[in-house]
Amino acid sequence: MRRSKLGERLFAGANYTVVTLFTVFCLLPFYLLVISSLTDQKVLQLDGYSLWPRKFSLEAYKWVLRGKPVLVGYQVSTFVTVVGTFLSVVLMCGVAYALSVKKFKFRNQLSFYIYFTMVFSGGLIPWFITCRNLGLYDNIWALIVPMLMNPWWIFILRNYFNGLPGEIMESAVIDGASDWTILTRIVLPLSMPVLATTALFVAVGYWNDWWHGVILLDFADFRPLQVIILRIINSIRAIRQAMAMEGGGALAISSAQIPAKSIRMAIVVVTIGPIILLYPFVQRYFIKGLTVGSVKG
Amino acid sequence: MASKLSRRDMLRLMGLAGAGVLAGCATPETIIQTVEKTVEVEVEKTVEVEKLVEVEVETVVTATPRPEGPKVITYVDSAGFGVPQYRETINPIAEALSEKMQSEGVNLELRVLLLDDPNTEYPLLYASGADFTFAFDAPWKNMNALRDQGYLRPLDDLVGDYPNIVKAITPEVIEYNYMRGHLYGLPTGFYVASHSAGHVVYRQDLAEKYGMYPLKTMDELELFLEEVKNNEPGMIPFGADPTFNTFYLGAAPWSWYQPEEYPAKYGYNPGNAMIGAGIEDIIREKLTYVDSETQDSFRAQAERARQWNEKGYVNKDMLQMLEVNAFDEYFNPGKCAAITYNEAILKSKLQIQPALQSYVPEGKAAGFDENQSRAGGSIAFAVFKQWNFQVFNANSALEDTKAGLEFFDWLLGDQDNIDLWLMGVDGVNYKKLDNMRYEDLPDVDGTTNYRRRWYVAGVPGRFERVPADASDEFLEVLEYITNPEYHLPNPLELYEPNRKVVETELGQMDAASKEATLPLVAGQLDPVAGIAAYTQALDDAGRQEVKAIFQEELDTWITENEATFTDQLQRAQTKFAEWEAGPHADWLESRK
Amino acid sequence: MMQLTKPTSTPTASLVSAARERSGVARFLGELHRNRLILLLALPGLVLIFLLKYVPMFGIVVAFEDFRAQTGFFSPWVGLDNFRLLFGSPVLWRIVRNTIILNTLFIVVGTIAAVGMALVLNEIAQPLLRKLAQSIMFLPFFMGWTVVAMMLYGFFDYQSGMVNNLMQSIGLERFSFYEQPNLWPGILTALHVWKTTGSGCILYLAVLVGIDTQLYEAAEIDGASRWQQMRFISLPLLVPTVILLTLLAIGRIFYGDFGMLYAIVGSNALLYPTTDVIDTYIIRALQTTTNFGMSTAVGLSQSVLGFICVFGSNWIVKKWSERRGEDYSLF
Repeated sequence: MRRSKLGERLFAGANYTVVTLFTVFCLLPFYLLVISSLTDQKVLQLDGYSLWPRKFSLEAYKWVLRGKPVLVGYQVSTFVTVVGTFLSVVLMCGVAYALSVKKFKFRNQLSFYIYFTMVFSGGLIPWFITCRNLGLYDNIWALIVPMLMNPWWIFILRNYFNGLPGEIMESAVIDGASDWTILTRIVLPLSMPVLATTALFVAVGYWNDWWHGVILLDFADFRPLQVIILRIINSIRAIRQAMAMEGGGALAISSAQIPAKSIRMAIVVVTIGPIILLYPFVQRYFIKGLTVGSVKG
Repeated sequence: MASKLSRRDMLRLMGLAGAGVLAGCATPETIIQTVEKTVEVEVEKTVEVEKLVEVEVETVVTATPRPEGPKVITYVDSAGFGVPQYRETINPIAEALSEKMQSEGVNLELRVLLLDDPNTEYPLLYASGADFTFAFDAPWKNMNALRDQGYLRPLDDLVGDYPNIVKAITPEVIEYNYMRGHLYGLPTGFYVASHSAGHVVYRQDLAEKYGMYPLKTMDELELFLEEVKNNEPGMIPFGADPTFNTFYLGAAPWSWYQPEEYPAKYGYNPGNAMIGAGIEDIIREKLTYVDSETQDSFRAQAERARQWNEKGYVNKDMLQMLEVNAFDEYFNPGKCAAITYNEAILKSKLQIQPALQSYVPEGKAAGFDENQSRAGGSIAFAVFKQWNFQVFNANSALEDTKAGLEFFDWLLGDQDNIDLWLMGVDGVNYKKLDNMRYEDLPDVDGTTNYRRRWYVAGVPGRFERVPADASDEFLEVLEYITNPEYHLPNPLELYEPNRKVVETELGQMDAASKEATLPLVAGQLDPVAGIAAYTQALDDAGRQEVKAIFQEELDTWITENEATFTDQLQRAQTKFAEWEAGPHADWLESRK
Repeated sequence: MMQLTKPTSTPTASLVSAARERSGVARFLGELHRNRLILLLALPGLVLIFLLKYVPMFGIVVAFEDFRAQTGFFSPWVGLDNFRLLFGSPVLWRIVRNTIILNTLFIVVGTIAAVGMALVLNEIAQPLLRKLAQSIMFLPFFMGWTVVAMMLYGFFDYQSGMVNNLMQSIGLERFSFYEQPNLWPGILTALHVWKTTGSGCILYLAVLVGIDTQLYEAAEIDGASRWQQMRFISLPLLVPTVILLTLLAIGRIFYGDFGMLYAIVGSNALLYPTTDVIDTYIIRALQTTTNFGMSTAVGLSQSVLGFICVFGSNWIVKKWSERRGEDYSLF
């Protein structure tokens, strides 16, 4: 029955090679990043990057983690990410499901209604004014609500729902199941892989978001982690700018004391950390998708 | 089966969500407050949706006065301009200032809003109608745009009511900083010739090693660069980056030094940076706009940059990284031997040498006055037009602006107030000494410590304390660049072109000029081809048309202001003639 | 939109009976009523979209005005004057061309890489390797362009770059990468692939793991090789997703990847002939004028042009997929 065993082996071998090579390609800069963040600033400045650690230093991490703001930032970001992701996925599923139900005649118009916002926007000022008028200003909802609906993921979800075997749903309809039952009992369970993917990316989006924290928080006494990070980077720049200013004179700050280069590296490591932990959890659902998919009827 | 399994999974997901919330909320008080607020907001929202609008109004209104208590003035601080980034360092000072004000009968409360991304947020706040009171604004050319869009409140009729402000800033500086008939901010006059403290920082220890210290001329600098190239393997003789580049030494885009054309070229030259053109020669009354690249100085700079590039004196790739300058990248780590910087003589000893020594313990940095203006080798126009202003928001109520001015009036009335605003608290942020000196405290972190330079404080620089260990040269330079007596009066300084009418063209020219200048600056292009490309790019963007418009405007302005213009021009010409006739060296001697 | 949907939440008998009549409005309302549960599910999301996306669209009017603080959205009308900044630009052709070329490269190469990687990963039977590879590939997604630019500089810099150090050590001349505009579309595409493949392929993997395993089992029995299964089962099932994502990307084809170009190319003008896109040019031009009317006008132009493109492509996809008895179109 089987075709040439050699061919199969070659094929498998090629696959393993491609994956391994690309993995290394992706890992290398990250490896460099971690190594650099742990390298003494002076060595980094004098000799540039290197593949193996030289003078080990935790100085950069001490700078990044100094003080309470980073800790608070972690907590704000965690809260925003968890709540935001949950709400976002729930709301987007609702919309995507409506778009995927074939008996709903206006789903095309509705798709267009959503798609249109992907291409057109009113611009920064009216958006800012609208957010302020909706009360999305200087409170934690300003970090959550503006990012809840992402047309991109709505369409991904819709597409996946579309691709589910129609017969199951049809038979459910014949059995008298309501839309609610179909969605919760059939569509969502079968959609675990895509739900996990969407949740992962939405979570990453929330975790990495600094824009709303910068624009919509002014007097509030909390900031998400990314804004704290931005401030740390900016304070390096602030010192430089101070030195570069027209008519600067006696600002006696030595910028060499700040491990600027390794700090940026350390910042990336620090911010990636928690969200990477989420990854294996989500990954289970990709694997599980296989078994869920095979359970029919 | 499928649904059972997945429901459990969903429960797990929700459990994780809950756990995350708990983890997020579990620890310090701040986050608990956050969550409490959140819950409150949530309750409000779910209970009555219509209330949203009211809630919103309340939050916006918070910046305006409460029924009783001090009037709140909100200061938008563009962190990064000589101001520490941290709210933790700024807020205590704002509180201390408010307390002091109130105890002295000035019923104001100062709140500082520190923007994380001033480039975006600052214009956005104006455009969205936010009602903050005042802000620090620089430089001059950005202010033009804000003014043209109606964001800034003119202070013409107001400033006279505040005697301390007028006295400190001086009526003369105030007059010079009227723009097109109005005063759009409080200027902070002090330096009248910041250029003259030199532009080149170099490795003193290397120059000593070659027996060349101190460097005095450009020729000597080139010899030094050659020595470095031959003797220091792996070291770049001269570091160049887009901000502080070789052109910074010369003509474009800001009309710096060139001995033979110098008096004509340096000083406030209206419209210059924006349009790749400037007025040819004010002293010799050649009052026409000419293209920058037709000037010898521009070509000389392009050729020098090219030569240096070909000889291997400058780095081959222009440094283009964000937030990285050639200093941190090259000079401090000892990878280059010379570099351009403003006020090089002041800064080389104050800031650069300590930074250098943390990498290269035996390293020493020196600056040199390559245009030799202090030695009498050249003379330039004094600059009264400032780069730095405190501007007042036209969206806010007039009373708010008045309250803001009252703050500055109070501030400038007493050196103790100024010290608090500039240096922080005595004994906490710095140590106060006699004779306007100060000392930094040991164990105080320089990056988080509170400090505000005069030019971002609305305070003239003469109220700023000088470090206790400042050298004689430092003081001499300071005296030279702050005393108008050493410079020429500029008869065109009160003129200001109307940029609004050619806004689109200016934008296109700005883009074109950035693209065409930088390769010339790094010597990456052959000067002839590079300059031709520069001409083409700017003319395509509409330079000739804009020049014609500006020229007409300038001619009209001169006719309208003929008396003052002629008077000032004659004074400048007389002073220039004296300088030309007199032996330059004597001048230096006379000052010693 | 909101007003139209509102009545459905309180349907009355008369409305329902009206739905049986032939009038268009009634049919519309009837359709809404029939699907009220679906709409109820979708409503919160749709309202949010309306509030946060459609309401601010009144601001587009600024593109035709000389925006001023005092008059706000009712500023003096200037017609198409604000559009001159982009359409009157002497380098219009160059920046539009670069925007489209770079985006096309990113879309095409990026999609091929992501789909390819998803298919290959799907073939990896070893669970540990598969998990590990997937996790690692995801890492570049987190690296900001500023950091990427810094490391790239560490690789390619003339004086101290690793590549040049290596070339010198094996006796080659140093090479100035940052002065060669023709290299950069390639380098930027490679960076794009590096940064997005790991995350992009997750999406396709999610589709692949959802495929009914019986299909493969049947193919196995028929004697199909793994390659054939990949080619004839897996790949076709990815087509709808590929089309969807491409269509979505086409809508933004006139928007350059500003974050990437600003960090990596920055002020290196020698590379502008191939890397200066609409967004980077406009930022350069508006840096000192901060004119919101002009920036809105540019954004509107990019949107309209992108919209035309996506409309065209959507039409083509619709026709093409209809012939295959499917509908892969966006709307």
